[in-house]
Amino acid sequence: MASVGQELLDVPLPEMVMKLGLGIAEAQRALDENSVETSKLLAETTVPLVLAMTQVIAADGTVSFTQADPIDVSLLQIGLMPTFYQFAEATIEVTMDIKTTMSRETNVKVSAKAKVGFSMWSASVKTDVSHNRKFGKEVKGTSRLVTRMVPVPPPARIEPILNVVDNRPAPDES
Amino acid sequence: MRLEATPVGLFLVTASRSGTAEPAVRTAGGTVVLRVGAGPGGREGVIARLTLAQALSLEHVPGIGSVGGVQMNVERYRRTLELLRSQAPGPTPPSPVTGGSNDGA
Repeated sequence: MASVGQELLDVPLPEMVMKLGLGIAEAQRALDENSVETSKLLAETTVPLVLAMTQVIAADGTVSFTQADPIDVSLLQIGLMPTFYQFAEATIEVTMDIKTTMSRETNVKVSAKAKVGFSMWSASVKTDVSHNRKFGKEVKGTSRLVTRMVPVPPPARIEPILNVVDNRPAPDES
Repeated sequence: MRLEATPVGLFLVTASRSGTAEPAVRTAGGTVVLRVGAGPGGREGVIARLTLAQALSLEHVPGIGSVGGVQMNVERYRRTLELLRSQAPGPTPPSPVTGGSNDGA
């Protein structure tokens, strides 16, 4: 029967760590893909932006408003950025409950028999002895994987840089 | 899988086709803060306040196309507004009124 120490050594810890690592890598890739898809949606989604409004109060006290034509800008342009997540910590907890039992059972059965007749007699003694040894082992194991995920700033180059080239003629100085 | 309590964040939730994402967001316990027409097909979407657990549950709701976390970069918003205002034609922002008072005194 394997010892308790051997049972602990038999825990496939390297395999569990490897699978945890691969699982985290796959989850990280899925999270990054989701963030990239969100970036594309934010870049493709536009909202009308009114940059200026003018309130005019006439001489008779009536109030009117005029506004500049709205400009369509993307959500990414106005500062809505995708959230990127990163796995910051991963923990494997393995708990084992090993229970071994051994029992020994001995049964002794003795019987005697005697017989007399015709000036003769006979006697016999019969003994049965049996030994039983029972071994029992119960192993219960549970594992728990804990990961901690934190939001991280988006990559620096994901924000589009707005360069303005103004080709309008310069106003007269006069 | 069990998720620890997570703080509320902003998520872009889009509908898969012709539907709207708003009812699903409300059912999940989120709050809609902005309605948008997301994507090239003009699918309806919303910016909503949700916890991560609520956002993950929405991914499996029929009619929901995508769920992605977003955050507002206020500094970028301010810089973009300044830049657009300096370049855009049209009415100029009203100047502060001088020599008067609006408090009725």
